[in-house]
Amino acid sequence: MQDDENCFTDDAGDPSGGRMSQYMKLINSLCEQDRARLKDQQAEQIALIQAQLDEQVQALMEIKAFEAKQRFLADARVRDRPFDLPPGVGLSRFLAALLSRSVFATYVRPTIADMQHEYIEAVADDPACATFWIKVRGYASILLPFMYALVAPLVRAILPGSKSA
Amino acid sequence: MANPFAAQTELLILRLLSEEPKGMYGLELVKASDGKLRRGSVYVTLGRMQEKGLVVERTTADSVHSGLPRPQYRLTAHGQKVLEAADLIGWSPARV
Repeated sequence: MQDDENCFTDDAGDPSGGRMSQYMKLINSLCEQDRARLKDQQAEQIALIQAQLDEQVQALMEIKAFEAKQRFLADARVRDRPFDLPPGVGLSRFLAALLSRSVFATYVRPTIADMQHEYIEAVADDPACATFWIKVRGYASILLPFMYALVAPLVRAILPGSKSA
Repeated sequence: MANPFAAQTELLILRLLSEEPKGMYGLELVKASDGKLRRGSVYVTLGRMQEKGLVVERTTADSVHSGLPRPQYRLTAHGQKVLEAADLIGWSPARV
Protein backbone atom coordinates (compact mmCIF):
# COMPACT_ATOMS: atom_id res chain seq x y z
CA MET A 1 0.00 0.00 0.00
CA GLN A 2 2.88 2.15 0.78
CA ASP A 3 4.17 1.45 -2.70
CA ASP A 4 0.82 2.43 -4.16
CA GLU A 5 0.98 5.73 -2.34
CA ASN A 6 4.53 6.22 -3.54
CA CYS A 7 3.55 5.60 -7.12
CA PHE A 8 1.52 8.86 -7.16
CA THR A 9 4.26 10.88 -5.56
CA ASP A 10 7.50 9.43 -6.73
CA ASP A 11 8.21 8.15 -10.24
CA ALA A 12 11.37 6.43 -9.08
CA GLY A 13 9.47 3.89 -7.11
CA ASP A 14 6.60 3.65 -9.55
CA PRO A 15 5.16 0.14 -9.33
CA SER A 16 3.20 0.71 -12.55
CA GLY A 17 6.35 0.66 -14.67
CA GLY A 18 6.61 4.45 -15.26
CA ARG A 19 2.96 5.01 -16.16
CA MET A 20 2.88 8.17 -14.10
CA SER A 21 5.87 9.46 -15.93
CA GLN A 22 4.26 8.65 -19.25
CA TYR A 23 1.08 10.31 -18.03
CA MET A 24 2.97 13.44 -17.05
CA LYS A 25 4.74 13.42 -20.39
CA LEU A 26 1.40 13.10 -22.12
CA ILE A 27 0.03 15.97 -20.12
CA ASN A 28 3.12 18.00 -20.87
CA SER A 29 2.87 17.21 -24.54
CA LEU A 30 -0.84 18.12 -24.52
CA CYS A 31 0.05 21.33 -22.79
CA GLU A 32 2.73 21.96 -25.35
CA GLN A 33 0.22 21.35 -28.10
CA ASP A 34 -2.28 23.66 -26.42
CA ARG A 35 0.38 26.28 -26.04
CA ALA A 36 1.39 25.84 -29.63
CA ARG A 37 -2.23 25.99 -30.77
CA LEU A 38 -2.81 29.04 -28.60
CA LYS A 39 0.31 30.63 -29.98
CA ASP A 40 -0.92 29.91 -33.49
CA GLN A 41 -4.32 31.38 -32.66
CA GLN A 42 -2.68 34.43 -31.14
CA ALA A 43 -0.46 34.74 -34.15
CA GLU A 44 -3.51 34.50 -36.39
CA GLN A 45 -5.31 37.11 -34.32
CA ILE A 46 -2.27 39.36 -34.34
CA ALA A 47 -1.97 38.86 -38.09
CA LEU A 48 -5.70 39.66 -38.46
CA ILE A 49 -5.39 42.78 -36.30
CA GLN A 50 -2.28 43.74 -38.23
CA ALA A 51 -4.15 43.33 -41.51
CA GLN A 52 -7.06 45.42 -40.19
CA LEU A 53 -4.65 48.08 -39.01
CA ASP A 54 -2.97 48.04 -42.39
CA GLU A 55 -6.33 48.46 -44.07
CA GLN A 56 -7.23 51.34 -41.77
CA VAL A 57 -3.85 52.96 -42.33
CA GLN A 58 -4.34 52.52 -46.08
CA ALA A 59 -7.81 54.03 -45.85
CA LEU A 60 -6.48 56.93 -43.79
CA MET A 61 -3.70 57.47 -46.29
CA GLU A 62 -6.24 57.43 -49.11
CA ILE A 63 -8.38 59.95 -47.23
CA LYS A 64 -5.32 62.08 -46.55
CA ALA A 65 -4.28 61.81 -50.19
CA PHE A 66 -7.84 62.69 -51.29
CA GLU A 67 -7.93 65.69 -48.97
CA ALA A 68 -4.49 66.78 -50.12
CA LYS A 69 -5.63 66.45 -53.74
CA GLN A 70 -8.78 68.47 -53.00
CA ARG A 71 -6.69 71.15 -51.32
CA PHE A 72 -4.31 71.19 -54.26
CA LEU A 73 -7.18 71.48 -56.74
CA ALA A 74 -8.78 74.25 -54.70
CA ASP A 75 -5.46 76.08 -54.49
CA ALA A 76 -4.97 75.56 -58.21
CA ARG A 77 -8.43 76.97 -58.89
CA VAL A 78 -7.59 80.04 -56.83
CA ARG A 79 -4.09 80.28 -58.29
CA ASP A 80 -5.19 79.88 -61.90
CA ARG A 81 -8.23 82.14 -61.60
CA PRO A 82 -7.84 85.18 -63.84
CA PHE A 83 -7.37 88.46 -62.00
CA ASP A 84 -10.79 89.90 -61.39
CA LEU A 85 -10.87 93.47 -62.64
CA PRO A 86 -13.51 95.78 -61.22
CA PRO A 87 -16.41 96.49 -63.60
CA GLY A 88 -16.26 99.43 -65.95
CA VAL A 89 -12.56 99.21 -66.86
CA GLY A 90 -13.24 98.50 -70.53
CA LEU A 91 -16.08 101.00 -70.63
CA SER A 92 -13.93 103.73 -69.10
CA ARG A 93 -11.21 103.08 -71.71
CA PHE A 94 -13.78 103.21 -74.50
CA LEU A 95 -15.42 106.40 -73.23
CA ALA A 96 -12.03 108.02 -72.54
CA ALA A 97 -11.21 107.51 -76.22
CA LEU A 98 -14.66 108.72 -77.31
CA LEU A 99 -15.11 111.82 -75.16
CA SER A 100 -12.90 114.82 -74.52
CA ARG A 101 -10.57 114.56 -71.55
CA SER A 102 -12.29 117.24 -69.44
CA VAL A 103 -15.78 115.90 -70.10
CA PHE A 104 -14.71 112.36 -69.32
CA ALA A 105 -12.88 113.40 -66.14
CA THR A 106 -15.72 115.60 -64.88
CA TYR A 107 -18.81 113.55 -65.64
CA VAL A 108 -18.11 109.94 -66.58
CA ARG A 109 -15.01 108.82 -64.68
CA PRO A 110 -16.32 109.72 -61.21
CA THR A 111 -19.48 107.71 -61.89
CA ILE A 112 -17.48 104.67 -62.97
CA ALA A 113 -15.14 105.13 -60.00
CA ASP A 114 -18.11 105.19 -57.61
CA MET A 115 -19.43 101.95 -59.13
CA GLN A 116 -16.01 100.31 -58.84
CA HIS A 117 -15.54 101.33 -55.23
CA GLU A 118 -19.02 100.18 -54.30
CA TYR A 119 -18.42 96.89 -56.13
CA ILE A 120 -15.04 96.27 -54.46
CA GLU A 121 -16.50 96.88 -51.02
CA ALA A 122 -19.42 94.53 -51.77
CA VAL A 123 -17.10 91.82 -53.13
CA ALA A 124 -15.13 91.92 -49.89
CA ASP A 125 -18.30 90.83 -48.10
CA ASP A 126 -19.10 88.45 -51.00
CA PRO A 127 -22.79 88.94 -51.60
CA ALA A 128 -23.07 87.94 -55.28
CA CYS A 129 -26.55 89.40 -55.66
CA ALA A 130 -25.46 92.78 -54.28
CA THR A 131 -22.51 92.99 -56.68
CA PHE A 132 -24.85 92.19 -59.59
CA TRP A 133 -27.20 95.04 -58.68
CA ILE A 134 -24.28 97.38 -58.05
CA LYS A 135 -23.13 96.72 -61.62
CA VAL A 136 -26.61 97.20 -63.05
CA ARG A 137 -27.14 100.41 -61.07
CA GLY A 138 -23.63 101.66 -61.87
CA TYR A 139 -23.92 101.12 -65.62
CA ALA A 140 -27.37 102.71 -65.62
CA SER A 141 -26.06 105.76 -63.75
CA ILE A 142 -23.31 106.19 -66.37
CA LEU A 143 -25.93 106.72 -69.07
CA LEU A 144 -27.04 110.17 -67.92
CA PRO A 145 -23.61 111.81 -67.66
CA PHE A 146 -22.68 110.10 -70.93
CA MET A 147 -25.72 111.58 -72.66
CA TYR A 148 -25.01 114.93 -71.04
CA ALA A 149 -21.41 114.78 -72.19
CA LEU A 150 -22.59 114.11 -75.75
CA VAL A 151 -25.52 116.52 -75.88
CA ALA A 152 -24.25 119.50 -73.84
CA PRO A 153 -21.51 120.54 -76.30
CA LEU A 154 -24.00 120.34 -79.17
CA VAL A 155 -26.54 122.45 -77.28
CA ARG A 156 -23.89 124.98 -76.37
CA ALA A 157 -22.73 125.18 -79.96
CA ILE A 158 -26.26 125.61 -81.32
CA LEU A 159 -27.71 128.02 -78.75
CA PRO A 160 -26.69 131.66 -79.31
CA GLY A 161 -24.80 133.29 -76.45
CA SER A 162 -23.85 130.06 -74.71
CA LYS A 163 -20.21 129.42 -74.16
CA SER A 164 -18.60 126.56 -76.06
CA ALA A 165 -17.60 123.34 -74.29
CA MET B 1 -38.81 133.50 -54.39
CA ALA B 2 -36.49 132.40 -57.14
CA ASN B 3 -32.95 131.74 -56.09
CA PRO B 4 -30.66 134.22 -57.84
CA PHE B 5 -27.41 132.47 -56.91
CA ALA B 6 -27.63 128.80 -57.63
CA ALA B 7 -30.09 126.07 -58.39
CA GLN B 8 -31.76 124.36 -55.46
CA THR B 9 -29.82 121.14 -56.08
CA GLU B 10 -26.61 123.12 -56.04
CA LEU B 11 -27.52 124.78 -52.76
CA LEU B 12 -28.31 121.41 -51.26
CA ILE B 13 -24.84 120.22 -52.27
CA LEU B 14 -23.30 123.39 -50.83
CA ARG B 15 -25.10 122.80 -47.55
CA LEU B 16 -24.00 119.18 -47.38
CA LEU B 17 -20.41 120.13 -48.17
CA SER B 18 -20.44 122.90 -45.55
CA GLU B 19 -21.19 120.24 -42.93
CA GLU B 20 -18.15 118.21 -43.99
CA PRO B 21 -14.99 120.37 -44.08
CA LYS B 22 -12.83 117.46 -45.23
CA GLY B 23 -14.90 117.15 -48.40
CA MET B 24 -17.23 114.48 -49.75
CA TYR B 25 -17.33 112.02 -52.61
CA GLY B 26 -20.19 112.19 -55.09
CA LEU B 27 -21.70 108.96 -53.84
CA GLU B 28 -21.53 110.23 -50.26
CA LEU B 29 -23.45 113.32 -51.33
CA VAL B 30 -26.11 111.12 -52.95
CA LYS B 31 -26.46 109.03 -49.80
CA ALA B 32 -26.48 112.05 -47.49
CA SER B 33 -29.19 113.79 -49.54
CA ASP B 34 -31.87 111.20 -48.69
CA GLY B 35 -32.80 110.63 -52.31
CA LYS B 36 -32.83 114.28 -53.36
CA LEU B 37 -29.70 113.81 -55.46
CA ARG B 38 -29.40 111.11 -58.11
CA ARG B 39 -26.33 109.07 -58.93
CA GLY B 40 -26.62 109.85 -62.62
CA SER B 41 -26.99 113.61 -62.25
CA VAL B 42 -24.82 114.46 -59.25
CA TYR B 43 -21.63 114.75 -61.26
CA VAL B 44 -23.32 116.85 -63.91
CA THR B 45 -24.39 119.23 -61.14
CA LEU B 46 -20.96 119.12 -59.51
CA GLY B 47 -19.31 119.83 -62.86
CA ARG B 48 -21.56 122.86 -63.33
CA MET B 49 -20.75 124.01 -59.79
CA GLN B 50 -17.05 123.68 -60.53
CA GLU B 51 -17.47 125.91 -63.56
CA LYS B 52 -19.20 128.45 -61.32
CA GLY B 53 -16.40 128.21 -58.78
CA LEU B 54 -18.67 126.98 -55.99
CA VAL B 55 -16.80 123.74 -55.33
CA VAL B 56 -13.37 122.38 -56.01
CA GLU B 57 -12.43 118.78 -56.58
CA ARG B 58 -9.36 116.93 -55.41
CA THR B 59 -8.59 113.51 -56.86
CA THR B 60 -6.28 111.34 -54.85
CA ALA B 61 -5.34 107.73 -55.52
CA ASP B 62 -6.96 105.36 -53.07
CA SER B 63 -4.45 103.01 -51.50
CA VAL B 64 -7.17 100.65 -50.29
CA HIS B 65 -9.22 100.14 -53.45
CA SER B 66 -7.94 99.22 -56.89
CA GLY B 67 -10.60 101.10 -58.85
CA LEU B 68 -10.36 104.46 -60.55
CA PRO B 69 -9.52 107.37 -58.23
CA ARG B 70 -12.58 109.21 -56.97
CA PRO B 71 -12.74 112.98 -56.84
CA GLN B 72 -13.51 114.51 -53.47
CA TYR B 73 -15.40 117.80 -53.51
CA ARG B 74 -14.95 120.69 -51.13
CA LEU B 75 -16.60 124.03 -50.72
CA THR B 76 -14.73 127.08 -52.02
CA ALA B 77 -14.81 130.50 -50.35
CA HIS B 78 -17.19 131.65 -53.08
CA GLY B 79 -19.43 128.65 -52.44
CA GLN B 80 -19.44 129.47 -48.73
CA LYS B 81 -20.53 133.06 -49.50
CA VAL B 82 -23.29 131.84 -51.80
CA LEU B 83 -24.52 129.54 -49.04
CA GLU B 84 -24.48 132.35 -46.48
CA ALA B 85 -26.38 134.57 -48.89
CA ALA B 86 -28.95 131.84 -49.40
CA ASP B 87 -29.32 131.61 -45.62
CA LEU B 88 -29.82 135.39 -45.42
CA ILE B 89 -32.71 135.33 -47.87
CA GLY B 90 -34.20 132.35 -46.08
CA TRP B 91 -33.84 129.78 -48.80
CA SER B 92 -33.97 126.18 -47.66
CA PRO B 93 -32.86 123.19 -49.72
CA ALA B 94 -35.68 121.20 -48.11
CA ARG B 95 -37.88 122.36 -50.99
CA VAL B 96 -35.83 120.39 -53.51
